[in-house]
Amino acid sequence: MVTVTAGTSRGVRRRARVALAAAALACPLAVPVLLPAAASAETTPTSGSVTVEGEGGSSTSVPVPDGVRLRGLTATLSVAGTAPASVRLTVDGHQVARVRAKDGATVRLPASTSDIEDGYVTVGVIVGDDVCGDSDSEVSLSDFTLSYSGRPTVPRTVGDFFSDAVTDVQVVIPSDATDDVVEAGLAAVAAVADRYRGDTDVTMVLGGATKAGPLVRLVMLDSADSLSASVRTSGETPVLEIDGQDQDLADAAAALDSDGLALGGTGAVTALSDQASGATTASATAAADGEDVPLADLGIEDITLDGSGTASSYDVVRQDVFGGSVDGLDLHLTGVHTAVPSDVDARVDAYLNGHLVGSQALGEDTGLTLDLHADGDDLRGDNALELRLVSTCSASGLPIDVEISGSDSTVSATRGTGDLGALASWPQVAPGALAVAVGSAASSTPDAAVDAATLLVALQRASTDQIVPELVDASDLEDGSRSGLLVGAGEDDSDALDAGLSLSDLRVLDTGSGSFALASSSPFAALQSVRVGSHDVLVLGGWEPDNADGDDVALMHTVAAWVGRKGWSEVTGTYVVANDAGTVAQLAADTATPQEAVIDRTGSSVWWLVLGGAALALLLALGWVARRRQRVALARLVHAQQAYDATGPSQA
Amino acid sequence: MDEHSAGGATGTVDVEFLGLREDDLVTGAAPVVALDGVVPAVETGPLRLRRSGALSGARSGAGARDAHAPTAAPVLPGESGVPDGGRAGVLLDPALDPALEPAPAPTRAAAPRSRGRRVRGTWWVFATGLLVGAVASAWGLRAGWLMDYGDAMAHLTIARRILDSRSPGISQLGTVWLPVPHLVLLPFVQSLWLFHTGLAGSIVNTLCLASTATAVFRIGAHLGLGLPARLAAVAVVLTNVSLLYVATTALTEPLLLALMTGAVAGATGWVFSERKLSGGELTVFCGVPLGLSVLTRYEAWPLALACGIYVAIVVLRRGDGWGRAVRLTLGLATPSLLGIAWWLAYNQAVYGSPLEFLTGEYSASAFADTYAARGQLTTAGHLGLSLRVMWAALTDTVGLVPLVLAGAGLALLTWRRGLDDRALALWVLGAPTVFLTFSLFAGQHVMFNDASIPTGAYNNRYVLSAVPWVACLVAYLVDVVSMPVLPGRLATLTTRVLGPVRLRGAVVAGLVAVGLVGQVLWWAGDPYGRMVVVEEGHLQAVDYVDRKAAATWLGEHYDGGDILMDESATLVAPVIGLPQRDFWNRATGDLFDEALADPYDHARWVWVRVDLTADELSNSSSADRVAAAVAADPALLSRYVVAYVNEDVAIYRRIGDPS
Repeated sequence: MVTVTAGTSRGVRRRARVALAAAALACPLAVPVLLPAAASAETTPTSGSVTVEGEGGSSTSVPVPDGVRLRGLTATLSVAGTAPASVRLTVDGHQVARVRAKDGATVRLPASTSDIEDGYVTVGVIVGDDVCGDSDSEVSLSDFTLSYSGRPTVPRTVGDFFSDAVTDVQVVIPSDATDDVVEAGLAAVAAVADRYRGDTDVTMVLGGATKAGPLVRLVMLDSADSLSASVRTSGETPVLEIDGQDQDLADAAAALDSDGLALGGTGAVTALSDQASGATTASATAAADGEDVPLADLGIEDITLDGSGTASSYDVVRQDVFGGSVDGLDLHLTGVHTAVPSDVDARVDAYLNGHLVGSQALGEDTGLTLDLHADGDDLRGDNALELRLVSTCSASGLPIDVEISGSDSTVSATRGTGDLGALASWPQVAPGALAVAVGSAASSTPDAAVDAATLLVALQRASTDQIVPELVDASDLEDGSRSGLLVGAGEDDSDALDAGLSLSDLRVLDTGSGSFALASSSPFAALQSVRVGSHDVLVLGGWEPDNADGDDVALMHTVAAWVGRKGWSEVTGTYVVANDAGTVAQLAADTATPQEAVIDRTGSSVWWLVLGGAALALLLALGWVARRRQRVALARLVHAQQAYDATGPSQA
Repeated sequence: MDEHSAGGATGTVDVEFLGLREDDLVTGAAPVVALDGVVPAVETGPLRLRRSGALSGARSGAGARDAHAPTAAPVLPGESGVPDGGRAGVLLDPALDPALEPAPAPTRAAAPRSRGRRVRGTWWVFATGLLVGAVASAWGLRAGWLMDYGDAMAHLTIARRILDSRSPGISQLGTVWLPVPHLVLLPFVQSLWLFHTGLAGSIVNTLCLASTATAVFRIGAHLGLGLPARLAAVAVVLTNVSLLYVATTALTEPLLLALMTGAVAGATGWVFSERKLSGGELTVFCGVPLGLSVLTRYEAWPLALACGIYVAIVVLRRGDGWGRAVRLTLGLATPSLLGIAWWLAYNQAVYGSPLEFLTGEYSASAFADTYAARGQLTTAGHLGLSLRVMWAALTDTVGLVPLVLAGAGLALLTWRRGLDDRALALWVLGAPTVFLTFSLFAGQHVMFNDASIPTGAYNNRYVLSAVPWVACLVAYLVDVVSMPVLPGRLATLTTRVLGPVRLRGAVVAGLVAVGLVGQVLWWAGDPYGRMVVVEEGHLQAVDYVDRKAAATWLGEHYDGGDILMDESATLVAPVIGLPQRDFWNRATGDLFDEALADPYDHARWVWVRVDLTADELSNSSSADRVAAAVAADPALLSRYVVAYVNEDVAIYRRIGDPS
């Protein structure tokens, strides 16, 4: 502090005032020096979505990377039906915003690190203030983007390598990878896809990674004499390197889905496997025909519906739980509900894949039992079970609670061939271990493996259990000895499989309802399922005219990428075909003009006619010979008779 | 083994009966020497040798000189040239004159089993067929499947329109579809109730079903098959679920079967008659049903040809000469030729071209062309695929059990009888099936099932024409397996397995019945998946749901004033259930065009197909011309209001009435 005393010269007083002013001006400038620097905000997309039908509220948990300071979220608001005027947004149960309900609007949800719990922040939507109002609206929040400062915690161990907030995982193998590295790469893809069943992008790439960032994970596989796994960073991208060979490498890759990874420390891991993952366990533990499987065993815990108006729950019952295709599903749902006020009408409706399969009015008896059945066209590979509580409002405003017990409720299935289209019968026709082979049209095994990986991700996310791929020869699939996936297939492969769609020149009929065109001389690629004896082979292949070069391979990538984008539940046709324009369409069997190659295969049936004709001719000849002999014998008898008659009975 | 003694010399001879039965020995009926097989069981009277002119080999031209008049003396070992313990052919007729004469030329065919035209049991079989058909029709009426097939509804409508139409007359028969089915339906569809319910077709086809069963029974009798065998043939017909299904509708296959089996029964009755029948009788009992069949379905045309060839061969084999063969064949073919000539003349008169039925816009070839344009006429030129498609159709429609039994019967027939008159008679029954296969291969028609490329369910009911052939072959198998004339060890084996001769026929027929029951149960397990004929009906029923709902509504709400409707593109006139004279439809020709140009002055009600694509609207033969007209000029219905609409049909009602 500067003290100004009486008698001090006027100059001193002026210097003191200047010093004070300078100090005051300098303070703000000192703050950046004195205080820690404020971090600039980073953004990253993350997974999650939440939907509210009618009036009410719902929430979802959004993963947040470890080690960051959460600044907020943005999301896209979707509104359908009779839109409410506004909706309320909540974070961690607290209302943080009230926004106009405009379809497509980007909304901002303030949030902070204190809202994070166990690595997630809970985001919710509340529609309407009158919970008993009648509304047909559907409001969704999706495409979440996190805004944060700081750096995500870099994983240092195998155990914490795969955190919940990861947005992309790339499995990297060398462009000239050997078969065992390819197999391990596929196993890694399946394991990671099993771990991340949401929006995390899982891909296989050759040579080098194509993505980077703190929320990206790279798994790099390569050959080595002995097995090792270690974690490092490349820039700010965490990398898990797994080296090894043969089955050890594949087992290590398959173990990436295992909870046992948490046991890994900071040092290099020299033994990594999870023999219990996937493989044959699917068929070994698959439910028997007609066996009642508790919903809890399918991952469906207690189902809760509460509120007034309409409340819904969604769960998935997959066919592959039963070890293969099913012809019918029977669900027995049992639970309890709160007492229903006398002035309220309430019921619970059950839908399977959008079809109403059961309904029960709620009355004085607080028990709830619903027996549901679906078969034939009502079934899918993944069956969406929706329970909907519909009630009128009571004067007291008391809501109704319904709880379905996941342990007491059961599902059983009638095994069969299933009534699904050929592609939609996957993955349940080949649960667990999946043989993967490369066909004659592939440019290289690693290149074809990229498509196999893309399809594997889609199949894995439609499977209950982990898929464990095994690289085999194409002949193992073509001779009908096992089910599997054949990628990079060519005409020879489709002929060997007797595929419905031959990988030769193809013409697609104009269905009159779409613009997909394919001329007979244009290259194309197709995904189809072929039944070979008792097994099924999923075939990704292509064809190109002789003067083309690699068009079919490029189109195979197009088909695989389309399936990867859409997800397996969207694959419902008989064929998925990409034309030379890169357009992909799902085709029914009769929209493809029958191919000469397919028809020519039936030519062998003529031999049956030849055989039958020859057999009849032989019988004709044999019969003629036999009858002639009898006639000769008869003639001799009669002549003898005549001779006897001529000589009379004297010789008797 | 029998022992005979003459003059103190004794020996044993294994006695063989050549194609005879015990009852023939007892009754003294002139036996047929068939040289077919043997059984060593004789217990009646002394053994006698006889040669008759009835050697089957003789009819084939071989061994003619072996035919001699009867003689009667036992054969002694050593003297007969037959070694002791050897085998001797024995023909028995104790009542015959033992005089020995040189053999005349082969004469009459072997005596038939029937006495004149009367075949015992005919009426029982007919009544059983009627009962089975009636039960099936009642079930079909209750289940609502009588109108599943669009073609069934169309046949009823065509028949009705001959008398009940704005322009009645024979021209309502149309072209492509042959006229006899509609003429047969004509009296029954005069009842609006029978027309509306579809029972008119059920009545006709139940009669046809019973006739078919009766005809195969009689064919078996004419061929000398025993009762169990003939009953097995009837069982094959009456347990064919696809045939029963079709017989409850107004489809034309049952009528074809009745006429073709009737024709073959007439032919076999003539060929194997005890007495020599005239050409006129052949014409009446074979030629007339044949003539009717060629005007029923085109599959009968090769049958007519086959019958003509068969009769010619029989006559030539008898040694009656080419002149008689030609005369008899022409007599047989005359009704068919007259029928075809009439059909050509009709097409010329009504449509300006005698071959309109072959080449016109509604012809089978026109339909085939639409599939060819889409690359889906895949059987054309591909014999392997044609065979696969036919086999799939046969197994689904006729049944694997009957087919296997028939195959065994065909093998036995070929081995034992070669191409004799009886064998050829059964081959004649197969002519429509062979023709169908050829027709597929030639691309003349289309058939889709699980074996076709592409797959589908279409036109498989055509193979119902194979049912009588299969039935008769099964009957032959039953007859052979159950007959007593089997050689040596086989006789012992069959006795052990099938029981004594007296019961053998019943046992074998019973085993066949068990197989047929199993076949029926298998079909019943999944009708839509295992019977493509039923599947096709079901698919069409699903396709017609909205149209039928609209038709029912119109029938209930119609209050007069006429209806403008392109019924040819909709086919649901029976479901509407109104008199056809109330309709302005395509069958009324110029009257339809007139009404289409000015609906308001003609019809209070207008039926319009909705949601048709441009491609469907431009297809002249199958498109709804009312919809096409409205699409081109929406003002046509400006003074109409929609009274009913669903996803397929809109029904408009006129506002007010024209002054």
